[in-house]
Amino acid sequence: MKRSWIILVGGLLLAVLAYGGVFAWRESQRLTAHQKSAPELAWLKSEFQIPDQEFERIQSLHFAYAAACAERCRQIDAKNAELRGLLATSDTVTPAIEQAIQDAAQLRAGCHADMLRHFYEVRQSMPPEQGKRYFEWVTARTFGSEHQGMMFSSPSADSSVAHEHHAR
Amino acid sequence: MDKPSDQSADAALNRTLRSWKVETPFPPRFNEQVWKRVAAAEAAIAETSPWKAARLWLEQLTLKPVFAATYAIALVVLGIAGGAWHAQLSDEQEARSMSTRYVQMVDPYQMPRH
Repeated sequence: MKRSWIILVGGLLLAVLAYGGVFAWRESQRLTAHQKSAPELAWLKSEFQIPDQEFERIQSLHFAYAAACAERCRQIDAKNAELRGLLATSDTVTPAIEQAIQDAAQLRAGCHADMLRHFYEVRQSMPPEQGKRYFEWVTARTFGSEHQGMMFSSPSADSSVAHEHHAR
Repeated sequence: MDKPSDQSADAALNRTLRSWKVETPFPPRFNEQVWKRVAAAEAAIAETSPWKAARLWLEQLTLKPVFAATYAIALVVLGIAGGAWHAQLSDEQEARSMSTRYVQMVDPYQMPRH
C-alpha cells in the first residue's frame, strides 16, 4: 500500500509543480512588461499590435501630449483658484466671475480638443484596422455616454486632483 | 526445450507418483469440513467493507506501470492547464486595469476622485 500512496501523492505533487511552474513563468513575463517605464503603453502596444517603429512614434506623441496637457492643467488649476477667490469675496455673479468661468471653460475646451487631436495622431500612427479600433475604443471611453468628462464636469470639481496624473 | 535427462527425470517422477498410494484414511467428515472452509472463505470475501475493497482495487491498479504513467502524465497536463488558465485570468484582469490606466493617462477627467 505504501508504494500506491507514493504514486498517488507523487502524481499530485507533480500536478502542483506543473501548475506553479506555468503560473510563475507567465507571471514573470508579465512583471517584465511592468518594469518598463510606462506599462500602460506596453499594454497599448500589445493590445493594438503596434509594430516597434510605429510604437516609438506613439510613445513620443504620448509624452509630448502629456507634457502639453500638464501645462494646460496647470492653467486650469490657476483659473479655478482665481474663480474660488472671486467667489469668496462676492455675493453675486460679477463680470469678473463670468469672465473667469468663460476662461476656465475655454481652457477645458482646449484640453478636450488637444485630447481628440492626440487620439487622431495616435490612430494615424497605427496600422489602419488597429487605428480604427483604437479610435473607436478610446473615444467610447472618453466621449461615451457614461463618461463624466470635462464637458459635463462640474466647474466646482477640484481639478487639482483630476490633474494629478501628470505628476507621475 | 527440455534436455533428455530432464525428460527421463520427469518420467521417473510420474511413475513414482502413479505408484504412490495414500494409505492414511481421511479424517471423519473430511468433505464436509472442506466445504465449510470454502463457504467461510467466500463469506469473508463478501463481508469485506467497500473501503477495503476499494483500497485493494486501488493498490492493484497503482502497481500497474501503465496506470502509474498515465496518472502522472494526466496530472501534469492538468497542472499545466490549470496554471495556464489561472495566468490567463490574471492577464485579462491586468489588461482591464492597464486599459483603464491608459484612459486615465490621456483623459485627466477620468482620474479617480479621492
